[in-house]
Amino acid sequence: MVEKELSMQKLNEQIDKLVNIIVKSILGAKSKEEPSVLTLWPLPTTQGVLYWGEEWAKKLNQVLHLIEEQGISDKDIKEYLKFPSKIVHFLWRCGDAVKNSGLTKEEKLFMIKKLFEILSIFRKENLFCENGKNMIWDKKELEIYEKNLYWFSGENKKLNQLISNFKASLYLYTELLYWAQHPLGHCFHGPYPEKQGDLLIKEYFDLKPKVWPFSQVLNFSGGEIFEIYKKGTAPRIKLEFFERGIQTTKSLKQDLKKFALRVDKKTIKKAKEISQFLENLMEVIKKGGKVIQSLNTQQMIEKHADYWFYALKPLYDLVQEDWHPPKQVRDNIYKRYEELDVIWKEMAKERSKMAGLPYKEQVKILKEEFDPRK
Amino acid sequence: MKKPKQKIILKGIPASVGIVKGKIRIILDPSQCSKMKEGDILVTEMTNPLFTPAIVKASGIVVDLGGVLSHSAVVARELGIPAVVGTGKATKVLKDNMLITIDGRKGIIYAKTK
Repeated sequence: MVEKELSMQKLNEQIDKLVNIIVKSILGAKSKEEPSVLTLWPLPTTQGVLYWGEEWAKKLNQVLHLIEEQGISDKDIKEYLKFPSKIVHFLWRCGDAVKNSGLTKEEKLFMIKKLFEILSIFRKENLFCENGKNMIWDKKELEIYEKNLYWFSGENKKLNQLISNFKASLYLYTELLYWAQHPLGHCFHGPYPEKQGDLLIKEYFDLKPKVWPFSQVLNFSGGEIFEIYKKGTAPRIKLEFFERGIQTTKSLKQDLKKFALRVDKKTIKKAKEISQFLENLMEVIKKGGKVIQSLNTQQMIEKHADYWFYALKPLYDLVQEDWHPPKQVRDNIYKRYEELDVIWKEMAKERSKMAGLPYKEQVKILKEEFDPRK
Repeated sequence: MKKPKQKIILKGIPASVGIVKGKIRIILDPSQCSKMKEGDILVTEMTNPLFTPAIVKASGIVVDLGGVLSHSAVVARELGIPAVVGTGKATKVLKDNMLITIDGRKGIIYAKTK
């Protein structure tokens, strides 16, 4: 009994922290006067969730139960998921999709607990990246990288500019694919204290999801960028729970000592190769941009749903079941569009009223909205 | 030597440090990205991936919307260029070809005065 109470207390503390981080993230992405989540490109997440959230939450619940029942090992989970980025975003969805799914409170708590357990496989004790660090590699994994990389000088202005452009374009590309949930395609981790300096690793994956046919012409499906910064830079490299990029406003560019790249597991040894990848990437971004601009709201919501269900794929692959969205999702988008749109417009109106309210007041409203226990 | 006086024309949220001088390029629609020249300062409402061709040429970014955790801010930090976000009215106050200085640490946009 005592054990159960302690476990519940721990879960409640974790949920408190999660809700706090969600609210901070929403408010941190906007200025005080803006209505939150309404300005997200190209579709406010809340709008999409209204159409697919319930079915998605049930699907997530199903796979978490299957993982539990089948006694899937931590090792297998780590191998299939590879990164914590998807799990942390599933936790965010516990604040809306899961919360409003109609599942029982017990089921919701089971899901959150299970997601935190999976997250701890990657982040061990530092689940919330509270010190600005996201340490997911152990010594062994770090040793492998040291042996197989080719280092470029970060102090060379031209090379520094080239890698900066490549990094920013990759980041923007994941935003093109996964919109506000771009960490579904990337994971930044570190900084690891190394002999040569502070190591930051930026991994990009799922860059050619079938959801987006335009992505199929990209010349690579993933890659890793290893950055060694001058010793002492680490405190300025702030990463956060949702892995949305470097959170410090301080400049790091001039402290980059060297960098290395692997693209589709191949070590890159020539700057020309980086330029070619960049050129291809820019082309795909251009094409993808045109595709997204041509979509109407319903088509956008359909894509939104598709990539959120696609994000469940690694978990479903683990239990060898199908991850695709059920028919109900399409029905919601195309048959119940007007009905749900009325609800969305009402929500947006309420949100607009928040703009300009004192910060504390906005925090209070959003906490209420995103707390899965309420 | 006496420092030239600088007039503050706009304030916003500091999003990526650094000071840069440059010519303003206001881009309200991604179709205008070709207007952007290497070293220009990109001014828009809010960046999104459709602005990539302009973003990679920018020496600084100023946007109307967003906070310190917004995508414009994170992208500027990836590029290592100064950025000021959440100005509220940059696209209205600033004009194409204007020469300005942006201070990404203080979140201030200056115009040179005689």
